[in-house]
Amino acid sequence: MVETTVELIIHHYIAEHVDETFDYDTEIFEEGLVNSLFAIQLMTFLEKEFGIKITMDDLDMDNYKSIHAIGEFVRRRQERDER
Amino acid sequence: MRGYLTLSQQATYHAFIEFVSTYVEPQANRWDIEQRIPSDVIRQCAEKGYLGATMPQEYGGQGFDYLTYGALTEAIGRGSISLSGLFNVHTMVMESILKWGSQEQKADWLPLLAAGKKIGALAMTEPSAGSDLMMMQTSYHQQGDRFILNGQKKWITFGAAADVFLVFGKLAGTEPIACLVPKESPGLSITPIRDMLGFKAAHLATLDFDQVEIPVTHMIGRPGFAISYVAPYALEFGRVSIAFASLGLLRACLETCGPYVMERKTFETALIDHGMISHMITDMGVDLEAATLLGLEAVKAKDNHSPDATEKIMMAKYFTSRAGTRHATNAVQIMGALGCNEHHAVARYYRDAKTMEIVEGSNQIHQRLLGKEFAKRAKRRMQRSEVAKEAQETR
Ligand SMILES: Cc1cc2nc3c(=O)[nH]c(=O)nc-3n(C[C@H](O)[C@H](O)[C@H](O)COP(=O)(O)OP(=O)(O)OC[C@H]3O[C@@H](n4cnc5c(N)ncnc54)[C@H](O)[C@@H]3O)c2cc1C
Repeated sequence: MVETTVELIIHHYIAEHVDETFDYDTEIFEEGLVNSLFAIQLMTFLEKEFGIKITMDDLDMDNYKSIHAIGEFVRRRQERDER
Repeated sequence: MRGYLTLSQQATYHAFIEFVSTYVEPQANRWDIEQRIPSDVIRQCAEKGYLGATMPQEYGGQGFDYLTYGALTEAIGRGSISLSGLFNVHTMVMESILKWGSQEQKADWLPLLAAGKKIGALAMTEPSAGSDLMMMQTSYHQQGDRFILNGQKKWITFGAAADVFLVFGKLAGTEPIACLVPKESPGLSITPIRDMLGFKAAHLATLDFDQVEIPVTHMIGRPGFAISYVAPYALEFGRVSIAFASLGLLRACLETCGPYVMERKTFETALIDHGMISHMITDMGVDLEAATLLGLEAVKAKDNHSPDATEKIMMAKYFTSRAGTRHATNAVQIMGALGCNEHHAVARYYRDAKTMEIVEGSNQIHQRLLGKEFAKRAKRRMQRSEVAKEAQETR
């Protein structure tokens, strides 16, 4: 798995909100690292930081489960928007 | 509030205030006594375009930014908290469709809702599921291209006046989903709830769903995401409405009590010159200012699409609704017997203020989330500064 700037930025943002140590594959929601409002905060962060718009088509927990998954989702979304 | 707005925002805010002082404030006590806002008033709000305040112009809305929407709900809240409830729930439904709806759903519903030709209401709470929405028992079962809906929703603001409901439930008993349910759906019964403490004129209702059939195309978002994404996203708009309507209520308390304490005399002294009364008015004014700043910070964050908006909006809702209760209680105290009569607006402020602490996530739920977040953040900061200090010392 490649570690890119996207993942670094996401890691930095999530690290500001959790105490526990976690890596790029930690399932942040599943393992209860964040509270119930964090999903919306993270969504807004991703939209603003990476210039994407999350819609109903993106409602898939696999997109948000870990930093790696989010990074891949963001890249896919950016590519789709460019097309 | 006015002092913090640009000149053009001030002009818009002035128009809201004119509308409220002409059509809302003079009738608001009567609406409470009759326990209903007349449909004419809803029509007037629609004609002004206010019901489509935050919707983009392509759907016939006003395209207001959230600061302007805040100013609108502040003005409406100054006149009638019950009427502010309409803006609250209607906006939550529209914003949910705008964010999570398909292109067809947006095209079908948003122009009608933005124009106020249809009124939307949000149905989450049930007799045994309020703060803890995971306890919801309302069920959806899929049969081909239809959902069959069963269950009951309670305390639904404008439930007895709305045309369409965004109804939360669980698909096949597990996955939270939310669907648009038109009021004329066979099997849906709507029973008005009377005799609330506050929100008296806000057409609250119980909704009973008995084998209600709706097309699967009425689902908003996807199965599994109604509680984690659709509801909190909607509630963020609800909290903006509650924060600013409570701000209007705080202003109402000060604007009612201020002139009164200057005129009314006891023991040959104006009330304002009694230290205890002056203390109450001081706190009212300071909290009004603090709440205004918190509210403005929150909507500015929302306008900037900042992730911090979620927390700032919660802080504004929490602080302003609590301040509303404190100062509406003091307003009754200041007005004496006058404030204890339901024909006086202060009695209404007192009843409505308490309600604002319960809706859109009760203030205890806000404490649960905000308190822990603040403590965790402080701990992290202290740990980081200790680590930095140690690193410096070992250098
Ligand atoms: C005027 C009015 C209008 C409303 N409009 C709508 C509407 O339009 N749509 C809709 O779906 N619902 C609506 N509601 C319902 C409202 O959202 C709920 O009342 C609210 O979520 C609280 O739920 P509850 O009343 O079941 O109280 P409960 O959840 O049973 O809570 C009871 C008390 O316990 C506290 N509490 C709960 N959990 C905790 C905890 N973990 N820690 C500490 N304290 C806790 C609560 O703060 C509350 O004080 C409305 C309610 C009112 C009063």
